[in-house]
Amino acid sequence: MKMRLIVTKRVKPLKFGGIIIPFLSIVVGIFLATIALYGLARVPPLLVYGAIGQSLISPQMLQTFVMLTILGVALIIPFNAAVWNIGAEGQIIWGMIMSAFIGLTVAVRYIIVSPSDLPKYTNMPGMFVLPTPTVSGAYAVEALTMNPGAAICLMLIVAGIAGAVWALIAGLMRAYLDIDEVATTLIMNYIAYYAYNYIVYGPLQGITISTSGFGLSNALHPALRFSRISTATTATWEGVALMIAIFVIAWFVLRQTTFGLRLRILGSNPQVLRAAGINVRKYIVLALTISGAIAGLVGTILFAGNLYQLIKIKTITTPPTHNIGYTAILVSWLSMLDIRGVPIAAYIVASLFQAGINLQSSLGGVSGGSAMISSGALTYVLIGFVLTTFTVLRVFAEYSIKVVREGR
Amino acid sequence: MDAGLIAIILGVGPAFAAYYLTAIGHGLFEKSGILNLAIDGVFTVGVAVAYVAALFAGAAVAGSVAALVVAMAFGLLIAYLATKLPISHGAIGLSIMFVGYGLAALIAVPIRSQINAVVSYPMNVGVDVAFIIFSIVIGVLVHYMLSRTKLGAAIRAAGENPHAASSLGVNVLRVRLIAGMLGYALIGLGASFYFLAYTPAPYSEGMGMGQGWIAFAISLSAGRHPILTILSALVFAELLYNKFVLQGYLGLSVHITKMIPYLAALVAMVIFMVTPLKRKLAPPRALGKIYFKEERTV
Repeated sequence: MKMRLIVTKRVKPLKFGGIIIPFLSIVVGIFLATIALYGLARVPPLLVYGAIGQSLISPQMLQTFVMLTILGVALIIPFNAAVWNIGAEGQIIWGMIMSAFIGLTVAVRYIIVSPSDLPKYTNMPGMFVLPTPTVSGAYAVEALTMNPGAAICLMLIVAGIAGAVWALIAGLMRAYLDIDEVATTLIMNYIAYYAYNYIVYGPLQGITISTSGFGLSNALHPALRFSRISTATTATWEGVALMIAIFVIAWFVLRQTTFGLRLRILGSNPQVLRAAGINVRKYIVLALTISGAIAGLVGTILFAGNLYQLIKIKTITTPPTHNIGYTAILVSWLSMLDIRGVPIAAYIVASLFQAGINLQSSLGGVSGGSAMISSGALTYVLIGFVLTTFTVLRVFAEYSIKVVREGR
Repeated sequence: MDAGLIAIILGVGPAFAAYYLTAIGHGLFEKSGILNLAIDGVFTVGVAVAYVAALFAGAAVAGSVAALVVAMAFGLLIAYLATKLPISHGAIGLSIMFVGYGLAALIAVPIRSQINAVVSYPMNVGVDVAFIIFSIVIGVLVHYMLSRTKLGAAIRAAGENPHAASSLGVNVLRVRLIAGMLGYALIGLGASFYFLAYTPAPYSEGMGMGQGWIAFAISLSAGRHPILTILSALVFAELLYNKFVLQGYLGLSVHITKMIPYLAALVAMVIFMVTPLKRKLAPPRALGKIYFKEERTV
């Protein structure tokens, strides 16, 4: 007797497939990841499960959740149009660079003070003394040149534009030259990383002895920093407000407007749009540009909410973004490209992402050099296996597998 | 010409071999109709495996063989999943790319932190020449296979129109599995040469990341044609091999020189798409399209 497995298209999509399949993928994917982690690097499975369990309720993951929800929305817009923006990393990086440009040069000016005059400035309102002296031995004080609220708005606007322009390049190449946007957006991430390093060693390098030439920028003036929700988390009120605003606007645009409808048709059946005389190219370019603009805003959230400083990229696996732009791809896929699913998917993925960081810090006791594996690489393992499992399993939302026995 | 200059010109050999083999492997696989976005992840794994295997066996050749075999397994997996199941080639490729980035670190970083040594191919002009000849011979063989043999015709048919090929008696799955195996064998070999011959520095996490995309662009800008790829690979290899010269002569920052190959990759793709090259060397018509009939045996 011979057995055959047959894949057939379902008449109706699998009931609750949008919930069952993502969850099953996460469970199976995590299981496969633990096998790889144990088999190749002797990381005990319990440590992995512990790190994931811990991060599910850790307040530290809140900031990741905020950023992943925003990025999930950013990616779901082009993904709905079957335009694959894999370049969120680069768009975030440009958002960071431009936020730093505004926050560290336009919104402040530097007053150089001799050590003896320093006490006068340390308690002066609106003044921020950089912690280490400058190369010449004097101290640098940051003084605001504009209203902090206006400066933060300016940071966001400029970061959004920077992300949009970076994505626009790939959008134009896809729309007018038919060059695969997956390849271009990815290649442009590397360009953005090196541009970032050039900038932290060049135009935006710090002026103090501990930053200048060390690939560090000056620190952001405290008045320009986002305000944290509590001391237990790095999440900020500004970040949460942006998340809610972006989510609601994107939901409205995708679900309630002709623009959103056309984007979704572009993803499922572009011929219909062409037949209706709609400029398909315009929609491809717009989908990528909007996506890039939102990702650019995440750059500001990361810079003004978390890091307050540009820090050089030492190795390509550890950019300041912690690869969150790639991680967000998982969020939008797990949501099954339905915007309502984005926050749920973002919560789960944020825990996985945080788990990579938690796991890294708990690897100290593991023998055999595994402690040297970066949190970025650990996140890649978790995310990669869940993504792969999901890509395969999601077939069953629309197809079923039957076992047929053939008697001889 | 003096010997020093000849050595500089031929020194590009290992870099050329690494990018050229990876690019023709990629082109060969895509000729069968599967969009290959996993290239960078598997390249990164290839580098890690080559490093570890060469170190343990004490011979660089062992590193190349191991990288070839591991990459081959990835090729088979991708070809099987993308042909057998109605799944997006882009999605499966990218997912496996991320798996590759992660696995590479798991494979190589623990070893690197315990053993501070590298086993590599010897570096001299003779070896450089051998790399150039070896990779061009492979390229000519791939070209001959694709354009003159029955297997090559079947691969091209599977890439142009798998349904028609299937009704003419071509076993699309088998053909794509072979293309995946051969293509990725070359990608693995290229990755091993990248580490063991071109940049035999101490391993660091993420080594090789991004290089697969450069090979992707090298292949695309030559229309996936194995012979034309010699030219595009040579241009890129020269650019990368001579980056310190560029740095010195033009006074460029190290960060900008690292960026140049990626910029060149974008430019190369644009040049290919805006010139008549695109029409003459059109991509396979079924590239990236889901190949699925209403019902199917797994």
